[in-house]
Amino acid sequence: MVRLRPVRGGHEWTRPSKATLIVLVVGVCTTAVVVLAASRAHDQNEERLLNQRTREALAVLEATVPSVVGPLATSAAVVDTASEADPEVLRRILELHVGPEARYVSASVWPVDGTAPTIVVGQPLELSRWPTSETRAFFERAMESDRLVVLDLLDADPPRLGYAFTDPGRQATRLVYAEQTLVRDGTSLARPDTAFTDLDYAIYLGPESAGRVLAANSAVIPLEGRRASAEIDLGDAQLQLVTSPRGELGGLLLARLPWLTLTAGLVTTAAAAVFTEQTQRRRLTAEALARENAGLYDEQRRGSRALQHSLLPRSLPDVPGLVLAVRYTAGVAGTDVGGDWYDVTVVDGGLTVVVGDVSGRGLVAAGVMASVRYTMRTLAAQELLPGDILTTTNRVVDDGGPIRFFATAICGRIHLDEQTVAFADAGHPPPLLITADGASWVDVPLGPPLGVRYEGPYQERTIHVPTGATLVMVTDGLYERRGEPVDTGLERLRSAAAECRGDLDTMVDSLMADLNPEAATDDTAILAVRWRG
Amino acid sequence: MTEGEGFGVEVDRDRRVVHLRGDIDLVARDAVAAALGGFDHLGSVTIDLGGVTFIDSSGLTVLVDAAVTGPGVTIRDASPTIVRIIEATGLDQTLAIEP
Repeated sequence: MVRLRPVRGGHEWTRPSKATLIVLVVGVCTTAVVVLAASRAHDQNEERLLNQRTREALAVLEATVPSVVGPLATSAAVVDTASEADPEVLRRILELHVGPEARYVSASVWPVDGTAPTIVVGQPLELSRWPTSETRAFFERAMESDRLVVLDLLDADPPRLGYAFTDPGRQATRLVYAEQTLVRDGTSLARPDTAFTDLDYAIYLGPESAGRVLAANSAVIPLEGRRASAEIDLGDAQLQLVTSPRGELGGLLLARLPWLTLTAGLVTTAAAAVFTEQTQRRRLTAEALARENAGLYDEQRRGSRALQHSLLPRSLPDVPGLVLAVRYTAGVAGTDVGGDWYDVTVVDGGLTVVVGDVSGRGLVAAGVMASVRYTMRTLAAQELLPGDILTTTNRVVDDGGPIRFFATAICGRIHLDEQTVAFADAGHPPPLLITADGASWVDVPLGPPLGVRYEGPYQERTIHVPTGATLVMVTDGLYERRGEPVDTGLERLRSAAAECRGDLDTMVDSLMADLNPEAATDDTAILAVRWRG
Repeated sequence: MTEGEGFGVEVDRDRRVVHLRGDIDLVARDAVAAALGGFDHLGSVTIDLGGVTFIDSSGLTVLVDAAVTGPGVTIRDASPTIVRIIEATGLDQTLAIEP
């Protein structure tokens, strides 16, 4: 009846152990903290670098402002001072600043009423398309300002900026107006410079929120992601520079550090978790195996006990004048069948009783026990006396081969009428006689165990048993303790038996309980006979 | 020399002595039997039980087997406890015990 439960296989999903979950949680949390710190450090570094780069770019832009303002200021001064000057002189001055290589695409001189330009150099002016009233309003704004006045012509194709300038501090009658075509990438404002390397940027006329883009090198406006912003003045207008890094300003290693940290952290965590889980599973498997083995062991032991009991007498004879009690327990430590037995045979005028013990354990010991027991029983049934039973049995069971087992046995023939018992002993602990006066060992001549090539006869001794007395025969499993002298155990049994009161069953039960605790390793048999009072 | 859990066997081949130590029980049985089986039957073998702390019926079986089917065995240096175990089982009539 052996049942094998399969040990949990590797393919089946089993919940990870608690320890593994803890390792995972701690690992992931630690990784998260480190990654966050690395990421934050990276962010701060990028932000710092971007601000620095933006300041540099702004400086480049600022450097271009004088080149926008300067020519116009010069021209305005000339126009003003030479109000009656030769228009050709003015035209030549303006031409210096107009052309594909120059700052402006066109330049002009206007009367302040905005009616029509008196001089135009370069391409046609966007401003000329405006109604006079609007032109005049713009010029009035320019006259009131002491700075360059910027006109938003970004909707023209190509987009332009207009600049008007009057010489400050004078009651001017004419002003200088120029237009600049904008190239979207911003080169019309500033030459490509290392300041803009690796940066996406957008330059707005006015605040970014107004959306008037002067120049940008990015298709996506407004810029997204990490950004920095700075403003500078261009005449009466304000330019806003918005930048965003194209890549990692601080280099790839720092940028990848959070990811490297994350990967390393997760890999380490996973490895630790796998290791923990494997350790846990090995432990669980070992525990499961141990439990299974314990179960099998237990089953085997139950089977052995069942076998042992099946070899023992099923019932005791009912004998007038006598009370009989027997007990048998299998030792708990071993799974093997023990070799202890007891037997009671009804004979002429009484009983033959036997308690025996085959050395060793296991099925072979049980087999030897069965053969010895039935040999003795057969001889008893033929009315042989104990000495002859042992002597004959000894010859029968000893086959002359190697000695693997021997059997000790105490055999007694009870005469009911005479109230006597004749005992013979083959290496077995002596019987205990318990009377009203106490408990004492019956002094039976001791022969060697059965099966050790003993040639001689086994001697008998007959004792008288008073009414009410009890004879107890046991196997050494009841009193023997490892490392303790034999006589100490025997004396423990004797004094315990002397203390026993009550009926026979109570007596043998208490002997079993007192002397043969749960942890007893050897099996134990008791046979007790009491002469009724 | 064979070392087991709780016992030891040491064979002195020249003097035909087997020294046993520790617990001689079912576990020690085979090792002791092998040690005794290594001798011829031309003379007795002395089994020195000076280091033996415990012996049970399985252990006694080995000694008895050597004594009656093997080279013949003399026991020596057995502790009083072990001598008493041998006496209590009537095996003092089978085993030769030196005082």
